[in-house]
Amino acid sequence: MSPRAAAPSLSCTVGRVRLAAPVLLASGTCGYGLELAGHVDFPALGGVVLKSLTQEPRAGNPMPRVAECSQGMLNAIGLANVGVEAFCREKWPKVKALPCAVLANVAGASQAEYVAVARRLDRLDGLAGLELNVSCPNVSHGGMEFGREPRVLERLVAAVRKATKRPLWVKLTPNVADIAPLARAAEAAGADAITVINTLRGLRMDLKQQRPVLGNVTGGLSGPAIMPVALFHVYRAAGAVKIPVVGCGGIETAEDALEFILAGASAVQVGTATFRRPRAAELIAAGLRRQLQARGLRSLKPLIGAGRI
Amino acid sequence: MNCRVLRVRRAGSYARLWLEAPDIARRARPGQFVMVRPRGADAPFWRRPFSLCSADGRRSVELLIKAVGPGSRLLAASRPGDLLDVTGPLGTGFSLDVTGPVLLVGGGFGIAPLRFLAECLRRRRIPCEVFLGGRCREDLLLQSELKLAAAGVACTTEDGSFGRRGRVTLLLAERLAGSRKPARIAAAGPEAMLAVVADLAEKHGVAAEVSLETVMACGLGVCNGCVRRVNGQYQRVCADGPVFDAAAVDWSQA
Repeated sequence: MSPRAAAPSLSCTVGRVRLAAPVLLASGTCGYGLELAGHVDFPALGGVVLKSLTQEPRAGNPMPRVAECSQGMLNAIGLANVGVEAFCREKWPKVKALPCAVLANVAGASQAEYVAVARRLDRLDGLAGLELNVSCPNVSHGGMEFGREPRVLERLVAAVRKATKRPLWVKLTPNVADIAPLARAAEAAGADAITVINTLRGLRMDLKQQRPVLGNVTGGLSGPAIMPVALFHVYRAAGAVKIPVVGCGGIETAEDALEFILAGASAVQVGTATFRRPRAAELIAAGLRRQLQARGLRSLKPLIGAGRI
Repeated sequence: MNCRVLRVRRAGSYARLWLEAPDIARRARPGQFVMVRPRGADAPFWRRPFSLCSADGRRSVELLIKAVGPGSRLLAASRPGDLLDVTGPLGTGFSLDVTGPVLLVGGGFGIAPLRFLAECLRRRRIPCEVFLGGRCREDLLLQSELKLAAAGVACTTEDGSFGRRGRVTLLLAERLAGSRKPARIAAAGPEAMLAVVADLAEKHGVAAEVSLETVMACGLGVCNGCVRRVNGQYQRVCADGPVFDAAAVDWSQA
């Protein structure tokens, strides 16, 4: 059989999560998924990670919340969301019908809040997994606080681990000196996978008003500008843990995604690219299939971490 | 979606672009917008939102672009045959469930969605009057198209180079002080103008809808970056708007 005839499959498992393709929409860039109906071909994706949920509804930060940058953007949304209860009651019946894996993202200002949100989500029928947001740079309490100190992170992940049997991913921040101890802390506490990375802290000045552009003063940088930084953290984290690493940060093309996979990522998340091209993630999945075809491979597996030296 | 530029007409810093976009042309309602991706070496990072200026219902849509920044300059320089990456139609539109006369108040290139609205109202045989304002004569766009669709078009310029000297809200204030009460007001243009329109509408007890303009990162309702306080809550201009009930909008940031 020629390599051409062996149809490559993108289906894969990340920890215990089965995905039709190793490409997901990143939290905070796909809303509750429903907003993208008509713009995105969900079955062509592996899945979606919904925007962060907290116990109570959050209005979010004052405007302006976004700023355009060269090859990227800053955001300081402030975890605006409807609250976990309203999400479960009003949104989930529709969200669960999305024809791809759906992971919820959990945020909180205290360990108790993370646990409570996770416990509530645990009851949802059909939820593929939870992702813990311990890396939001845009809130005064919680957010990154839990993601920069290995012992604090380990305690949090262990507490959430007790509250849910669902697959649990932990999304790490790049705003640390070394991501490896944090990756190990998440693994030690029972995480099924880690997502690497969230946004990089940044700031822009408004020249006319002579003050920071963002209402929150600082924001999180995303987009192609951070791709090499994300890739470095993925390389470093993948060398530190045995659980799967989900690569995230500035991915716009299948070639970008392949770099993450060679660095050790089992799957990737696509975020800001969706704003510029709503079909970016599915185009990346299609491109990955072509990459496999060109290499005569039937799955991505042999490529995961293949670029590590 | 890649859309071919069918025709371009330029006047000063403004450009009118006709795009081949059958799907958008069929579905579009006045007040909705599209996100367009500027191309080129120095293209900015985000796509840019533009209200639909007209849609022929089967083949093409028209955009009105003012070259003000790097993104709009690139788009305004488009040539027939170019392909533009366009997503839409997006957002809510103006209400069309009116019977009485509608007053359309446009400032500068804010007239774009109102021109589309005027044509839809004409097709429904709902009379409308247009008040159009700008800083100078060059800012008063689409007058001949508006005259075909509306019962009347009255203009103001701040420098007095065309029509009445002053702001467009002057004409609205005079009209509302008259005896024939309109069924509704629809407005689009600079924030300060919209705030005055909202104020006048409230004073005279006339319902008003405004199309808000803001910076948008996604345009799809997923990023929550373009919110505005409406009815005391943050709402997304791109997905919950851009057309809002003027009385519900918090104008304190205007």
